[in-house]
Amino acid sequence: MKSYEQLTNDLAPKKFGLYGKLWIGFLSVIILGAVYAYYLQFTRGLEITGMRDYSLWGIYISNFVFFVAISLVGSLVTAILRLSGVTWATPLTRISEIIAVAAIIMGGLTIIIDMGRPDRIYNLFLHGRLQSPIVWDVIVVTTYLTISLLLLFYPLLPDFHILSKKFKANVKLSKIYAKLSLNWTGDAAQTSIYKWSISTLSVLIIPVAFGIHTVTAWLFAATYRPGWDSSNFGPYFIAGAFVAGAGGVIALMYILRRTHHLEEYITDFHFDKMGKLLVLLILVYIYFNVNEYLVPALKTTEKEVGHLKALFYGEEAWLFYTVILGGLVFPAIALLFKGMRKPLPIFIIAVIVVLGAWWKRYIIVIPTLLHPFLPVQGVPESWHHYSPTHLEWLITWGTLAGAMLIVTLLVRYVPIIPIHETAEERGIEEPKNETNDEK
Amino acid sequence: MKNNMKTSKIILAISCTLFMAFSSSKIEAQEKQNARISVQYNKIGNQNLLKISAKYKEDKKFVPASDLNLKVYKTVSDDSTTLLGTLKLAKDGNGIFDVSNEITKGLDTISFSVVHEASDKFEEASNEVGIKLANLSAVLNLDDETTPTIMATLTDVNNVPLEGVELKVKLQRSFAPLAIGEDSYFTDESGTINVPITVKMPGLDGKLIYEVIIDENETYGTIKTIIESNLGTKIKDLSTFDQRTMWGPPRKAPLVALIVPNLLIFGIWLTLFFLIFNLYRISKQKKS
Amino acid sequence: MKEKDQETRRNFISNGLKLGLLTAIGGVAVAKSLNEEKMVELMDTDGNIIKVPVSKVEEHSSIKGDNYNTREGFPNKKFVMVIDLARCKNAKQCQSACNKAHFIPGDNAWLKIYKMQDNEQSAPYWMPNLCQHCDQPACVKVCPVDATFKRRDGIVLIDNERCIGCRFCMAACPYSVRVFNWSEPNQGEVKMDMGMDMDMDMTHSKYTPDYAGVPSVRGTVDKCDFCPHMIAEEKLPHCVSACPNGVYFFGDLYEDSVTNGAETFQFSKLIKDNAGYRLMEDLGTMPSVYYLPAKNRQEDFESGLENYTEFESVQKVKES
Repeated sequence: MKSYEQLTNDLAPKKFGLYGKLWIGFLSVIILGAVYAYYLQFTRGLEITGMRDYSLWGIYISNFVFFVAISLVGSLVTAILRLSGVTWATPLTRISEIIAVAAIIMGGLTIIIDMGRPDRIYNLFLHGRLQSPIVWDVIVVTTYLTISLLLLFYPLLPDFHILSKKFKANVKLSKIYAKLSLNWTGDAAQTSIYKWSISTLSVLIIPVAFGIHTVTAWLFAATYRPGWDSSNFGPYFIAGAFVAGAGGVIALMYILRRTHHLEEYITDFHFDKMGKLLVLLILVYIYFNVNEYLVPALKTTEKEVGHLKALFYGEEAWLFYTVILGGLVFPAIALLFKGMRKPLPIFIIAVIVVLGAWWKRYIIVIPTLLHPFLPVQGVPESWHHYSPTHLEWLITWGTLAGAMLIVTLLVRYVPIIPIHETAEERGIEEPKNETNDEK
Repeated sequence: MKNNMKTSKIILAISCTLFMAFSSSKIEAQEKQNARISVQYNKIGNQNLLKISAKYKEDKKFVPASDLNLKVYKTVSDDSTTLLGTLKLAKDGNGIFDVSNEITKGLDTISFSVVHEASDKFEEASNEVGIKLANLSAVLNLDDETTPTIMATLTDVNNVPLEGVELKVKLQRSFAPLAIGEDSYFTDESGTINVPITVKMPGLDGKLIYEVIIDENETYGTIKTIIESNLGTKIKDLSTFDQRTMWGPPRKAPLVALIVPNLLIFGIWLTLFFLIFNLYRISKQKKS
Repeated sequence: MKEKDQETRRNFISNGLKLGLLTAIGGVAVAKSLNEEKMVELMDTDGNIIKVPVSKVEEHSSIKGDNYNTREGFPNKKFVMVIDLARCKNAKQCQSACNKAHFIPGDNAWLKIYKMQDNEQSAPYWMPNLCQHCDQPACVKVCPVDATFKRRDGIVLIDNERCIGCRFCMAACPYSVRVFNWSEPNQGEVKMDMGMDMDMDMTHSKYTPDYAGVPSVRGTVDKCDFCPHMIAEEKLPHCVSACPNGVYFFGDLYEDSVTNGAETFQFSKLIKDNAGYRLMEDLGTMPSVYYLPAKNRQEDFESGLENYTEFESVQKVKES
């Protein structure tokens, strides 16, 4: 069994190597480009995008839905699995919370990027209407962000305490860690508050997570449009969110395992378990997709026909089948084989699932808008289609890079795997000579 | 030095020219247009007026003419012409000239002419209208409770009834009046028409204002008389403006939409603030 | 050397001053000619036309009443429109009049004439489509900032100074009548092209939702406003007056009367006798626009085809 010190050394955050610095540089370049592109958008207007009066929402919105979806992984792994007593997921809780926090922050930014007049955002607070699903969304996103931050921060308290001792040599860093640990000593009183708080947060985050993605789904379901006018949308989106989130966690845990040499803590066993979980979640999501697409196809209601035709054998058919088959069906089948649940294969499959998830939201948002109730007449031919512009892509990449930057920076200063909880689970006791107990 | 003087003069000359060029108004084409003036005699209630409008052809289309110096004259039976006044038309080429009752008093027929003397833009133009003066009176007959009737009588200035003149009855509405009864009625030997009001129409506070009209008659011009009535059926406010609705302003949201979200937000955030407070509590733990 | 320097300096300063003076005079002159305080022509009680600065004019229209505010609307009125599809020949005068009157800058008109055919057997027809000013408007329900609103008189307007450009209203509207200003609207150019003086229509020196599109604002939504600025002068909306075929009827539901300027009908009787209906009635939006079926048409549908422009609804003035 490992000693406490060995454990701490393994799990403590490490400085950036060459690759780390190159990675940050790469992300920064994309973000700077995106900031410039946004400056152009802010001054010239949304005309720099490919959106027009029929395709009035585009990849900014589908990107926003993607971010909200993937942020639900925080509630899934940290809360649901924890409350069900699934202890193998403990090493993954921090990764999930980091993804959740990064995603929800960038999701909030993305929705502001889509606004025609972001300079008037204060109107939301001065004149906000509680009848509007957008106002509900703003409220829920803010609430979920707060809960996610707390659920990230609380388990970090003991870890910050450990790190402040470990990095004693670096006085400044040690002091920051100490301050962040809020004078954590691990005594009975603190532990009881800590345990109660984490339990409460775990319970609280589940309805809020369900709320956030249901409300986001209602941004579409509250309209009459074919493809969106579905009472199924809330659960459909949540099922999809868990798929995207699980895929994201698997992808990130593989990368971090390699960069931080965590093979002893994130083992094949974890990949295997997550793989099985992912299969289950994908199958549930496929079930929802069947309901969403097959039911209107059976009825061929007039307003649905144009939209379904486009998806099944029209302009968007190639993307539709790629996303459903490539992003869901094939991964689910592949993951049924134990061999495919080994770290490297499952990583590749997880990346495909996440990419599929991003494009699935495109399929949800854009085709419906291009098939309104009344025929599209009296507007330029290009308005009958939607094609994001380079600047629009650059800004979108900027938000994705922003999310990855947040993850990268958090991982630099925060233990990827909770040290304290891992020690507890493995029964490794903290050495007494360093505690603050004074007998 | 010499060069500088020259430059100064040139600059001064240029600046003066520019100034004059910009501040003076556009120099218009010198070609004179032919304006067409139309005059109509109107009598509304007891008020006489002339409805005058003018237009001219520009690029094969008729355009309102307003830069006219119009003089209005009256000509009576003894061919004597009197200047009544002047009129300036509005930008849309229309104008209204009041004719006081003094002018038509005691007369049988009268002729009005509108003259524009030649100006920079327009050639001389004029038009006239000659009418026979008549009096139109109307009352609302409520003898029959189920069917109110409008009775209108047309006489000349000597109270002689005028037979066979076309009259219309209309109900005043916002943008244009609504025709009541037949398309037109003709006065009988006693110069009267009787129009039953069979359709119940809504009116604000029960008020309905009817008009009896001689519409652009060659002899009599346009004469209108007004009848106020209380025959209007009650108007029900169908708007949801005062109600709490999902499409109302923020303060008029349905109570459920206000209470449930606020309860949820309040409950959850109360817990969150307590959890944040717990962080503070943890940091303040004294070493035992 | 010093003297020469002094002279050069003197020359420089004097030339500079002259240039400055020239620019100033030119600037003032140009400013004067372009920015003359907007004057309005009014008629005084003697029938004389006088010019009054816009800032001094306060509108009092009897139809507005004493406590008019743009969020509540004209008192005791509820506006409805009837469109007689049997008369529409796709003349598109309504569309041009609306485009001109509201200085529509983009490529999407607020009023569009659709080529419709309900099923394979029935005849095709022309259908003018504009904001339906629904009584249960989907667009108003979803607006997060109360920028679009439903008035007591039935009209649905947009406050372009409050709109944040989220476009949720556009997503919610099933009639696709809302347009978005994706770029800075070039209305100055548009106004010049249409030969309008800058001060002809600007009787309002202040923006009001009552006159949509004046001006259009980048990053916000626009749509048909049922012309409250015309109603205030007791005039019919532009589309109604412009139609050469008497297709549009407009009026007050509380007066049970609609008119196209030439003919006036009792609204309830008109709808009953002609089986008037509303678009997408089953969605429950309760539009204020009624349609009379395309029955007993005087002219063929085909006669409207020569005017049909599938990819254009706002005519761009061609550069000479």
